[in-house]
Amino acid sequence: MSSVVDIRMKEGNEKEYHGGVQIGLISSKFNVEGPIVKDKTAFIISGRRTYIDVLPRPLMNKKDGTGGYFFYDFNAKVNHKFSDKSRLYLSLYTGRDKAYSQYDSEYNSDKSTYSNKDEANMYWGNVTTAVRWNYTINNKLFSNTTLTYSSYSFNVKNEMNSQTNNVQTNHVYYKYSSGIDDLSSKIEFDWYPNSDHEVKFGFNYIYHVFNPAFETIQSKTGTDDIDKKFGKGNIFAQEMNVFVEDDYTITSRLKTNVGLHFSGFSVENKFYTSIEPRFSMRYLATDKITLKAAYSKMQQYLHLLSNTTIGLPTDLWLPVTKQIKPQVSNQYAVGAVYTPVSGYDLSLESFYKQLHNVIEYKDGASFFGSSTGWEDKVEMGDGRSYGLEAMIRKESGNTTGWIGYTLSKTERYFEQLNSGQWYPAKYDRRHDISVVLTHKVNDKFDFGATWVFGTGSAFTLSTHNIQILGDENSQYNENNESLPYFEERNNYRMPSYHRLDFGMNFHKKKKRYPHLEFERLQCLQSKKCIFSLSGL
Amino acid sequence: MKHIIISFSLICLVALFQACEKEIAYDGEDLNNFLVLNAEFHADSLITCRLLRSNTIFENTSIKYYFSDVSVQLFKNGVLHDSLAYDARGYYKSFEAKAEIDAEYTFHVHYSGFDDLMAAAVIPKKVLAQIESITTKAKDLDPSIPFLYSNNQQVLHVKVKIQDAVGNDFYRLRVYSRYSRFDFKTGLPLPDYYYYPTYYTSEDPVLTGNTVNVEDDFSETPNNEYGVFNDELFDGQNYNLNFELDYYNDPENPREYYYQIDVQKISKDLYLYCKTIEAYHYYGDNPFSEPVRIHNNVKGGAGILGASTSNWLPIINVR
Repeated sequence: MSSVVDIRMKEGNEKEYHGGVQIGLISSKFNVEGPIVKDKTAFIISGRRTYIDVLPRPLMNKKDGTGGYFFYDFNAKVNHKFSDKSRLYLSLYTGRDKAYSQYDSEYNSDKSTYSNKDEANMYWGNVTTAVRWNYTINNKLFSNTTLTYSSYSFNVKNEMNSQTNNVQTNHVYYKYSSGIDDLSSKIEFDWYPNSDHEVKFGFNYIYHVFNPAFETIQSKTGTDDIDKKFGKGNIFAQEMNVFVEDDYTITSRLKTNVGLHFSGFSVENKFYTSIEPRFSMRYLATDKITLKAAYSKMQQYLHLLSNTTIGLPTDLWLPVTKQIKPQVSNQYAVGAVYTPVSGYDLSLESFYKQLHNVIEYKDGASFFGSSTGWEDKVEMGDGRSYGLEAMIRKESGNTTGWIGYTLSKTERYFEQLNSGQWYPAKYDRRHDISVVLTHKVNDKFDFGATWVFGTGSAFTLSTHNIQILGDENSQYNENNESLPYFEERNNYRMPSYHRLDFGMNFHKKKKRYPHLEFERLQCLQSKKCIFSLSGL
Repeated sequence: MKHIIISFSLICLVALFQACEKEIAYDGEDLNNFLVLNAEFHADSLITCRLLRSNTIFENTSIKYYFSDVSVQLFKNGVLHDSLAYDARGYYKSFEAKAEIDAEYTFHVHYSGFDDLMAAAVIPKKVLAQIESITTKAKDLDPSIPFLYSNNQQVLHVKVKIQDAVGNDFYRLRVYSRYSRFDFKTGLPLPDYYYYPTYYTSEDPVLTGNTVNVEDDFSETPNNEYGVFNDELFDGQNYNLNFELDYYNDPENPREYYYQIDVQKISKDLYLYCKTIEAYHYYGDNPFSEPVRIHNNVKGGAGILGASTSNWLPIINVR
């Protein structure tokens, strides 16, 4: 279940043009920004694409099969200043990941030419557009009005064609798609009544169109002529949120943030509501020690449904329905920050999170097969997550960076799964370490290194084979039949993930051309993200 | 057909990512073998069980490990009742103890080098059931598919009334056909019969997983090969269970055919066990399916101790 993450795109430079190109071994990216009308209107464009699919292509041929994976993303933003009080922002983001394969074959026999062509694709991605109007009502009250459209889709497609003497003999087409389209309007206010209060309040309305699962099956062969579509159809929902929060400086040592969030969700003639209090405080115990505490309740109307047998992003985002309730979390955190000398700090924080109404696939279920409704494929249950986070950070000087370590445990509980026992969640990551260091040699050159380590994700591995009870009435009536057996879900771990990157940046500013930035990034040591395709 | 298409798609997808496949050495805890106990106590039947050793994923699973000197003690309602003796191929049998309705039986199994096993089951009461009706009709056939005996294909529709008690109950439906034994020398029928399991079909919701099966070709749920069901749809009520038996009519030589309808009340563990085994058979070849955990009620190892009680309902069909 997600927390609130506020991500804002960078604004274009209103005064001068800048650009950058970063060329890497497996991906490259660029960005350009500058004024359209100086001091009034500016733009910024950036894009990125990987080419790990293109590099090995010369070594492949279609007869043996070609395949690959790539992703790209593209950002564009225009900001316009009507006046000092009024600004408008238009932004666009689009990104897609795609894995594909193709097999072609052709042979001659009895004076005829036979050819086959098979294509398989798996692709997913987002498109998001937003218009935001920022208006200063007076020197104590500011507003942001945003209209957003976003679309997410996940697709699996497979097409096979057979021809004899250029006449089609067989055609099989299969497509699975799932997605969400959202139209959203939001108005937020920032109000500064006095120096001790920073109040935010607002309203948000979202119109959701969910396509949880839709399958198309077409088959035209010598014996079949099938054209079927399966799926419950779109689910339409409306979500409303009202919130207010106050950053209140009670004393010079004590600062709090108190908020209240009300949400409502209407779907399939059912209306869910929630009141969610949120609280955090920071207390400067001494000049060097800060104590922190936080509590938040959240209710989410989207469910993430992950497959525990595969690490590929077959994660589906599914809506709350009449049958599937919203997921709810309560999170508690306490921590302390110690600043021994200026520029350095050490922090330690612990957290505990309860989850209710999380969903997971039933035994045997998969995202394929939309003629069985997805709601019938899932179980609802509980979750919990708790852990400790420690961090040492250096923020000043030519050498900056941090070392962070998190020890945590995330578990799931479903009455109907795993014999009603708690078991590790797929994303349970017991150890997570990150070390980030950057050293600035001079204005033209800096370098840095990043090392990350994470416990491998959990998945289910059958460790034994056991004999089953013979059944005289079963077609599997074999007293010697044995089947794979595992004691609990997610009983095994993928290898740990670790990766060391080293980067150098050369900054060169040319008088007549945009600013250019060259980056050479080298992965010195890594263990790949591993996914599994395993039987039961 | 759908399964063929989806399976083919899955194969392509698996092939798609085979280039990224990497074998990973097992890096988990040491895998220790354990004992596997399988038994089904049937009311009024002699008690028997089978004990084997599990195989780890690194072993040849076709090799079976039997032990002839395991201590298998049977407790009835908490009191030692019998010690089972080894028979053959892992089977341990009692030569006297018959399962009694309502009695709780517990196995205590001890064998050096393995964790002790313990499993318990209560023999359920007999379900009240009766044949409500039997009707026959010609089988609906697809005219596009010619079949030699299509004119004689008949369907026997059977309706069984089940009187369910309040609370969670679990059942199994089995059908047997009666066959005569013949003297090989004379060719004459012998006075005793034997019964052989007969397949039946049903669209009754309780037998199709409490769902209505709209299109058989595109069904995505197991076909209930074990014929087990629960009383979720009729708890504490009477329920008419419907099923059909296919047969060939012989109008020139009509005679009586005997069936035994076996309506069993079974333990919850046995019901869950059958469901998980069936789910494994059905989903096991789909690499994207969630793994199926075989239900286990044997502490210290794995396996099943199930219990069942039959209510035999004979029917006669003249064909």
